[in-house]
Amino acid sequence: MLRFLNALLVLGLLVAAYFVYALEHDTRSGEREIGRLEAQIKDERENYKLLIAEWSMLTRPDRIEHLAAKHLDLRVTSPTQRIGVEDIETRLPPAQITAPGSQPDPIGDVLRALDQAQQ
Amino acid sequence: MSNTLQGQKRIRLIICGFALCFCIIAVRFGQLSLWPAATPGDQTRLEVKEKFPRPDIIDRNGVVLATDISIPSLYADPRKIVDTDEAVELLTATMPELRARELRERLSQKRAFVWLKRQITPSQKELIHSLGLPAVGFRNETRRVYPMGRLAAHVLGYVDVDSRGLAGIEKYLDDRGALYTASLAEPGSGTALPAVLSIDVRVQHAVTSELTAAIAKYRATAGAGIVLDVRSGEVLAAVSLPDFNPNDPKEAQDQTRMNRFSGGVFELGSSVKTVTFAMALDRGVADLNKTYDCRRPLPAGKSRIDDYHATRRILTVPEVFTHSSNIGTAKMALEVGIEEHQAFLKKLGLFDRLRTELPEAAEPLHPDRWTHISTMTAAFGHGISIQPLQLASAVAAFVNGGLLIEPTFFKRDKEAAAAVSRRVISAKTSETMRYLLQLNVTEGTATRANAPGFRVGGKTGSAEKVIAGRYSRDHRLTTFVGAFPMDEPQFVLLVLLDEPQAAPDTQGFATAGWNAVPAAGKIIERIATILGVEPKITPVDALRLATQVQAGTIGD
Repeated sequence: MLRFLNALLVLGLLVAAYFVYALEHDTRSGEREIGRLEAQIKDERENYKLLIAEWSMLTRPDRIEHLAAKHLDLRVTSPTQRIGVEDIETRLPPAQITAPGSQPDPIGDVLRALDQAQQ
Repeated sequence: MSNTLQGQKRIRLIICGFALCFCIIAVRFGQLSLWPAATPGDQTRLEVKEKFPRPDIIDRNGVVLATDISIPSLYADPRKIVDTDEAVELLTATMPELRARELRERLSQKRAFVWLKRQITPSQKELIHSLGLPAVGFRNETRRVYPMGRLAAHVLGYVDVDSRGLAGIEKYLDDRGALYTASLAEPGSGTALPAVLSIDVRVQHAVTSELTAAIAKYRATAGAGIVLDVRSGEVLAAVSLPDFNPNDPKEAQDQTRMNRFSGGVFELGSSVKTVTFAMALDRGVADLNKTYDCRRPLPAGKSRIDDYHATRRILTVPEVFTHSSNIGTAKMALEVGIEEHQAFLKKLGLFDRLRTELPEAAEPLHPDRWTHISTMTAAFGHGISIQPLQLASAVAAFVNGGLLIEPTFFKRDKEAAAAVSRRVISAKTSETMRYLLQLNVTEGTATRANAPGFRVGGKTGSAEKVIAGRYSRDHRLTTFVGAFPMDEPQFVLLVLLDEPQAAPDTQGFATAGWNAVPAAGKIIERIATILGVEPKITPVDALRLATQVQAGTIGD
């Protein structure tokens, strides 16, 4: 009777110990995973901040101005070049309305005409 | 038999006793794990005294102006070094800036930790890592960087090696704005929301580059520029030149690189006449039809007040303004009376230190005993020194309908602005002031500020600087303070140049109309479009633009 009880207890102990250790093992590996992911998130955050700072540095207005002056054939906009929406009509060259097909690129023609008017 | 029975009974008793104990423990465990916080007071509280992370600083459109980045630093544990010579050789080979002797000395120390090089680049880290030295390691350190470099340096300020703010907004975040900084922190995550400034980097850059050009052209020693939103009191740009690089703030200690828009006070000269006119018009002492006799210099104590652009005739109020007559303005102030004059200056806050978020705020200088002469000279901006930002904010009040709004370097909405605004002149006086300011640009001393299409109004000032205790005719502080577009003013611009000289195209003149004013005109031409001001081209403007196009100064 007593021996049976003892055997049962030992067995119970072994089973319990197995589950406890299995649980602890899982928890540990879970914790490691969390730690790894957190470190990764931190790293990515740092990288992100670094990239934002770099972007901000690369888009410095004086740098852009310098690059634009060097590589683009653009000039400062004159106030006369800005018109309100209501005045757009007055600046368009007369549109030539033609049958579809005969005129393959009507919008392109308008743009070309504008371009010529500028020169 | 009875002995064994007794023994068995004893064992059973012991088993029961143990079982009972274990049951009690098990029940208590269960209790604790199921109802952990039965009594809230019992719960152990985790108190972490956390240092709030320093927030990033961004401009009003979200461009990063200051941020923390993490930079690796190289350290060594000399006890772990196997072969010092080999380590020194390898390290100096990868990083030539390390000196071999110094390095050997450091590595020979009997310590567990020595810094070898603070703040190395990622590629250097990679190289050293691949050397495979067991005794060296990396530790990440945060470093404050300002990606825009010198831009807005005086607003941002700078920090020391331990990331403590020493000037500008950086200092505010640690001192008076500590509560604000705490409110930005996101609990637990170690990050913080960015602090949003009112500055617009595009406007800031335009003002900086035009001011730099003006300083070079007129060989001025220094300059400052302010752009203020008249309805919210937000500072859109605040420039002071020469400036410094907050990434390497050694030169910031230099007095010539001080903050001139709020950290210094100046006798601003005739631009202050706007204050006198607003006062006289608001009190009803003067109106547009009134005239002042400006034929003779006005005696003031031992000296006399005279006009720079002397007309020697009787001037109407608008003429006093456009000819910038000291005599007329002094007379006008005297008519208001010295008590009233002081009260008005006080109401505008010109007697007190203007406190914005920036710690650099200079105390205005004014005479201890206010006399008739004080009123006469203060009427045209002498004998009283104020921060340029104070004048800009006063002029904003004169054109926005009469509300003085405390300027701010943080983004602010209209409601918040209304809470810190108070009426200083009536809406009607404000309208008259707009008329006078615009008149002065169309036909007065500030015609060169007229950026075509943007309806500029403003007042010039050429104050004589005090050199060795005397006002000097050759050392001037020239200013332009104005607003645009004048039909519904949105922005105030102030430009200040310190000791500008005559340039080839100024016919020998070095007063404001020839340097600060054209610089202001160029600034407005550049920033008005950025700020969304719609140009309205009058025939006169069209003619001026046509000549400019022919001269090739602007494109079409």
